[in-house]
Order: sequence, then structure tokens, then C-alpha cells
Amino acid sequence: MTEAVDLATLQRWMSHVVRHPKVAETAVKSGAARTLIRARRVLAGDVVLPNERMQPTDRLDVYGGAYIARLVGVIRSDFPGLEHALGEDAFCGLAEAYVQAYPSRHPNLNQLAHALPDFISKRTHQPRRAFLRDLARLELAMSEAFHAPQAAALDPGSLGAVTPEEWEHLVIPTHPSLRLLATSYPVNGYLQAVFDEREPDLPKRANSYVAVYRKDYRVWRLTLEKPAFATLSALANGEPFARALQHAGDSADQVGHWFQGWTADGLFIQP
Amino acid sequence: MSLEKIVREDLGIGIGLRTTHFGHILSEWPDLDWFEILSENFMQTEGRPLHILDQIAERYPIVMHGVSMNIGSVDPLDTDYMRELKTLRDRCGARFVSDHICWTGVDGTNLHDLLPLPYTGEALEVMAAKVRQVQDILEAPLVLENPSTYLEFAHSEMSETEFLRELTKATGCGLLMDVNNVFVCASNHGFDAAQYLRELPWNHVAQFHLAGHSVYETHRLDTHDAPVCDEVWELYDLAHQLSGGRSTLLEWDDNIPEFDEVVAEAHKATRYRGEVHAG
Repeated sequence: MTEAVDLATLQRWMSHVVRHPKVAETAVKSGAARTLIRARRVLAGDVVLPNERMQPTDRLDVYGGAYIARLVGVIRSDFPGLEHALGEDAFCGLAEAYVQAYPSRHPNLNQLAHALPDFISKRTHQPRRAFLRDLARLELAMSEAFHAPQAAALDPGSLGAVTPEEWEHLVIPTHPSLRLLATSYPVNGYLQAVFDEREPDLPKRANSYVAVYRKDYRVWRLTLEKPAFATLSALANGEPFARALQHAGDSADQVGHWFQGWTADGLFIQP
Repeated sequence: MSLEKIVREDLGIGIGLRTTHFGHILSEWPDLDWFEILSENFMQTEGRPLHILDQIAERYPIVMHGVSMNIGSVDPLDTDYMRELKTLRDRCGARFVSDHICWTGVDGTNLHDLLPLPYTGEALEVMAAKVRQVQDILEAPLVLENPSTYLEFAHSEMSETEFLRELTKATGCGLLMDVNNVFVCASNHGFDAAQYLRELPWNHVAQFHLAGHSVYETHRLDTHDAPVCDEVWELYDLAHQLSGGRSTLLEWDDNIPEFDEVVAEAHKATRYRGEVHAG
């Protein structure tokens, strides 16, 4: 006679089995699963019923296979550059390992890859780790910018009445979608080449600075020189205008030009 | 809105709103009765999809269909999720909110799949308590869909239709009857799909889903990537006769064809809907 399994035990057990990297026949014998429901019971059809075509573990595999395919597919859609750099098989291996290490804990799949750059950083055996991490940071920033809260851009006309004294202390908030990345590899150029289907080679190490933001519901990437990046980062960190200017160094005379461009790009919102 | 009103309001024939069709819809504003949105695609985001939904919701009735309520789980209801869901409902003026009779995760981990429940008294109690909680938050009836399933639990104490009848009786919730899922499950588990339909509490059925599925040697898989098969149309015919007419939606989520092709597939339903109306 079938022994009842309480719902909490059943769900914890099935969660382990479905998320296990191996097929269900192996998964049901794993330590985590066995402590909840004995493998012998499962294999005997005492938990999941067999039918004439499928054993209990075959039926569990339908869920296990779909689980990893779905989550890898979600990561693939947001990280085409990373997939290009790694090749399909290595990319799938990385994505599967990531999903094992960081199972989703959010109802929305757009949060799934939040820790992918950190995960790559920790894979000490991963060839080209620093480059791949930078590339993943850029693609994650694009996804974050896509989903970021909406806010009305700064109307440059509204600054007309600001006095020179007020400018000094003025803090101008940046758009919630803005992400600023300093990277050790020129990943923005690499990613653009991937989008353009130019089959780029993996780039050599070189410091690079990128702003990622959303304007008119499209995500944009802007390569910056270091002084401009430092100035924009200071503004994004809430530094008053006068203090942020100091980050421009020898390029201080460029700040007006930069600011005009950034404002036109919608990088600032109303104070 | 009361369940009776939701059930009575036949919105006609709709399709699932998909990103790939945004451009066509915004340029053509095609003639279509209504759209169903995947709720989570418009939550935790204020990007382009939400901006487009705002425009579409001004012109078409919207129904919200979610996959992450996790209502059959032993985990407590995710109140942040519910708050966002309600905000979206109010923003797009959705006629009603639906999700699935399933669980999607436990202990905070989300598997993002519609996982099967054992049909037991305990599962019924867990679900009923959470359905009541959801309905209190939404201040409206929740509508729940029968999922496609690929396994059955040995300790189930009742049939799926018995579970649905008990759930609707205990909570007053609505049902979204996915006719393709009935066929897929009947094939996978060896029950009579027509009999399943005859056993439903029809006064709770608010909507139909139609979709295509994939056939494997050992089972059928609900893939939403193909036209509706003849057997599912036959079942829809019966479901329509039994219900007297309900809002009907075609789902197409993979290998999505052009907008007009999806709508043409959905409009095949008029053949069956017309027969009831003429009768």
C-alpha cells in the first residue's frame, strides 16, 4: 500500500531531484533526496506512478531536462557576447554550473543572472576569466538598464536660472538606468563586433570605460575616456557639481561639452 | 468584479501578447478582441514592454496570466510579488488575473516550472488557504488554470476534476480551462479527456486556452510551438457546448509565426463558437 508523503517533504524532494545535474535515476539516490524520500520507494513506483511507457524516473526527467534548458535559455538570451566568446558548449557548461550554484530565488527570470560576473570571477580554472567577467558585467548592465525604473530626463532649460554659486553645490541625479563600468578589457568594442557579426578575436588587455543607459526605451552603450568616466561616476555618486569637476583633471575644459552631451542623452533627471 | 460577471463576459477570441509582435500591433492596431499578457514579463521592469503595454491596454481588453504565484507550494505567499501583481493589474485595467494549479518552488528557490501537485486533502487545504489570501489582496476572484503534467503521484486521493471541484467550492475561485492541457494530460496519464470536461464545475470556468504541443515516443509535451491539433479542436468543440461560450485564447510561445498567422489560427475557434451561438 502506498505510504502518504506530506506536501512539504514531497516538494523539497522534487525540487532536489529536478535541480540535480544528473538524470533522475541518479538524483533520487543523492544524499539530499534520500534523506527526504528513500530511493527504493521511488524506483518501486511508490511515489511517482510509472505508466506503460515511462518509469517514475523517466517522468521526473521530463521536468529535470526542461528546468536546465529553460534557465540556460534565459541566460543565453541576455549574454550573446559571452556565448560567442566561449562557444556554445562551454557557454552551456558555464550557465549550467551557474544555475547549480545560484538557483533562482526570485519570481522573475530577469533577476536570474544577477551574480554571473561574480560567479565567473570565482572560477579559478576558467580560461580568460577576467575578460569573460568584464563581458558578463557589460551584458548584465545592459539587462539591468533595460528593466530599470523609468524617470523623466532633465530639461536643460530648467538649469538656466541656476546661479554660478548654486552650480557649485548642485547635485544632479542620474537616470536609474545608468550603469558605469570600468573594465580591464575593451569589451564594448568586442560586443559591438559580435552584434555586427564580424567574428571578433578575443581582445588584448586594455583599460576601458563604458556608460550603459536607456533612452527612448532603448539601451545604449557609450565608450568614455577615463576623465569623463571619473567625472560622470562622481556625479552618479551624488557629488556636487563643483567637486565632480575635479575628477576631470587636465580635461576640465571638456566638462561643459561632456555635460551637454550627457544631458542630451538623458543621463540626468530633474534634481 | 464578481466571478459570475467574469464568467459571463465573453471577451471573444484573443491571443497572447508577445514581444515579437509589438511592432506590428503598434503600426497596424489590428482587429482583435483581446490580449492576454504574461504578468511577469511586465513586472520588475519599467522598460519598453511596459511602455508598449500602456498603449495596447488603451485599445484592447487585457487579461493577466502569471506563472510565478507558486500557489500550490508550502512556502508562504510572496507578498512583494502580490503587491507588484496588483499594481500591474490596476495599471493595465486587466479584466482578471490568472495563474496555474501548481507549485513553482519551495524554501524560496524558484524552479520556474509548473510543477505537479498530488491531489490530496492536504494539498487542497494549502491551495485553498492561499487562494483566499490572494483573493483578499486582489479584492477579486483568482482564476486558475489546469496545467499540463508529466507525472502522477502514487498517494493522490482524488482525480484532478474532483480536486478542481473541491477547490472552487472552498474558495469561489475561477478556472481557466486549457483544452490542450486536458488533452496532453489525458494522453500522458491515460484518462478520458471528454469525461474530464463533463466533470468540471462549468459555472466557475472563465476562459479557455488553446495551444499546440509536441508528440514524443513516450509522452506529449505542452510546447506552445505549433498549430492546435485536430483532437484538441474536437475537445474545444465539446468544451464550448458544455460551457455555452467562454473567452478563448490561443497561446503561441515558441517558433512564433507572424501576427496574422497566429490570429488566423485563433480564429479557427469561431467555427465552434458559431455553432453554439446559432443553436
